[in-house]
Amino acid sequence: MSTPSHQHDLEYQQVPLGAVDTPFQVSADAEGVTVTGSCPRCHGHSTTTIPRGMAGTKGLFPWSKAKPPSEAEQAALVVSETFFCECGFAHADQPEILFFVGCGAQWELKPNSGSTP
Amino acid sequence: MNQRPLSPGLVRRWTELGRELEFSQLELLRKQAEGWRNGLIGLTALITVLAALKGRDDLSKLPSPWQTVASSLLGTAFLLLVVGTLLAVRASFGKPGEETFIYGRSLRSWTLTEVGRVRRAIYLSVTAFALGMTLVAAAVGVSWTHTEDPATDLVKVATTTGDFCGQLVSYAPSNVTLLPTTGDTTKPLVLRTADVRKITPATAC
Ligand SMILES: [Zn+2]
Ligand SMILES: [Zn+2]
Repeated sequence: MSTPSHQHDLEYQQVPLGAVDTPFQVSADAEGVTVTGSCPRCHGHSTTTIPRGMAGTKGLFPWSKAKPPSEAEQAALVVSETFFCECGFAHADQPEILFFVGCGAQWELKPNSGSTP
Repeated sequence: MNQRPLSPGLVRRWTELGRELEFSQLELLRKQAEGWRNGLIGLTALITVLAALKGRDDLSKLPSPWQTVASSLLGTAFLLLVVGTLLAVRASFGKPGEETFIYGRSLRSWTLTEVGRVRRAIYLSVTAFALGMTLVAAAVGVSWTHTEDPATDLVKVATTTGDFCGQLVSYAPSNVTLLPTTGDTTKPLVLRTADVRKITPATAC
């Protein structure tokens, strides 16, 4: 499969792309789940980490050892969440305060379009 | 997990909030620890106060059925107050060590669930407090209404004609005067000192 090159001249724009069939990889550890793939809009390499913890704090008990989420948990998470382009490139017209440094695109992933290495 | 569609803008907002939370975890953890610490300090104070109260108006002076009633009331009240305190702390500062994915829809559904749980915790906490305080009041009421006047000079007098009991009014070479605590409590009981065998202090007649 040919990978289109990163479209650096694309202007920042918040575009919801809906569910896309783009390939992605999922990895997980105790800290959370990381999804990597190519941004369907600018084709930059985008990495998104979904941290696990307390909404507020990480586990309070030091002895409660966090274990990585199960495969099923990862799969359910990936298809239920929305991803934002985090190609890291300073696309033109990017706002000053930015949570996701990229082209502004957001998309959902279709189940089974990715692979877990 | 199928959720109702959320507008792209809202999804973005929730995910941005997740990013913010991620960077303020340490601060939030300290706040939570502080909250639990204050709650536990309050609990210790509560236990100390209740223990002091219990020690002072000594329930053991109550006549038998009321002693059990008052102590069970106090015991239950104490448990309710402890539970109420813990629930209040839990409502304000969260449940320690509970995890979720700090991202978009996961964060949103966790937040909505948490809102419900906190609301329930507040309601239960207030109920437990109100009930606990009512029971404390009831226990105090029971001990006030059923404690007999402190038995100050109560004595048992054994005489050749029988045993008598009452408040010692006077002890003279000729007569021993008692004020009975039962029957006609205004009419003193005069016993001849010569007949008296033994006088012993008594806690009750
Ligand atoms: Zn992009
Ligand atoms: Zn890009």
